[in-house]
Amino acid sequence: MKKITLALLTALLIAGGVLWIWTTTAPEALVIDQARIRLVAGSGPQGGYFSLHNRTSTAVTLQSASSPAFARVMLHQTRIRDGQSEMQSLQDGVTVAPGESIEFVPGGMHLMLMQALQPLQVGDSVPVVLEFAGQDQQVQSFTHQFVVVPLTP
Amino acid sequence: MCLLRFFMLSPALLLLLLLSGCQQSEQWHAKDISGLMPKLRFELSNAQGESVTEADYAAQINLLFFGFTNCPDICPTTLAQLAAAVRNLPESIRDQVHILFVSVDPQRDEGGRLAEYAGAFGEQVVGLTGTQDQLQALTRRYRVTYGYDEADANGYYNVSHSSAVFAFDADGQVRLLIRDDLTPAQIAEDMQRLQQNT
Ligand SMILES: [Cu+2]
Repeated sequence: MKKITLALLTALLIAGGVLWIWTTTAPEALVIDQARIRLVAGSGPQGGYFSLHNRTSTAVTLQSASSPAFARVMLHQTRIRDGQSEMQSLQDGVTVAPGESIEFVPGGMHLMLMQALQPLQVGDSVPVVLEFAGQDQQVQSFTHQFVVVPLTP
Repeated sequence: MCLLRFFMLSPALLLLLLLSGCQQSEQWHAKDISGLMPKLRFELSNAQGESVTEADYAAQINLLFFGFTNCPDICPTTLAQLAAAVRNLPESIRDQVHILFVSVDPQRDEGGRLAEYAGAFGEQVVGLTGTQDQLQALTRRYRVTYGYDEADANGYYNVSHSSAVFAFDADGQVRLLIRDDLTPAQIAEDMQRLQQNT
């Protein structure tokens, strides 16, 4: 009787283990969330923000971005050095190691969305294409919907 | 308490006491820079293109801040933080505080564009700009700088500018340097105190 219980328990543990492995390794993907555009008044550029989780097993590099709703999109970073703030182009893109996440947030990295082709409103959903290069230099594009949000929550 | 001890302590100890204990209640959230910079003075243009000077914004608290409208990231973040601080003030003193947003990019920020950008943050935000000479004079006066990067293939260029926010009291005296890590509530508290002890 005891042996049967032990065997059952072992089987359950193994099955549980297998299930655990399956659920943690199966979603092999790049995950983008909190994708948003903070609405700034006027005809100037808009700032796009998001989180990117690299759940693949290789490093990926975000190389460029574009959007049918804007004339151009640049990858930018704001830096404050010695009380002087400046924006710089992320010309080499942004590399994310496997298992790592990066965040585009106000005051840091942002998508610089130039010349909206149509006026934007809070609540609008805007497609943005993000282009990634993997280890084999193959480029993959993902289109993600960015929600237009007010400047202050 | 402080007065009582005044008579019993040596001058050196007294000074120490004044710098620490007695002044505790005098602490600002922002950095106290009283007397470290000259009085508010400038010649600029408003978003309507009219010439203005500090006299047009006299007898009120002024927050001076530099930026440009092609800045969707840090400039609106700071402006929203300051505008939220003003909204936090009691209604009776709200219109006695102005945020002077000085664009150091006059080439792209004349007229309508500046008005639209600054105006979205509320009535208390004033968009100003000027000629290079006027901007140079003002930034030099407050020991800050600005500069332009080379334009890209599309003619777009980045502008670097000071991230400092200077607060002037109703007499035009420089009083505080507001850091970007303060909450609107903390800034509002400082503004209220500034209003009371000018
Ligand atoms: Cu930018």
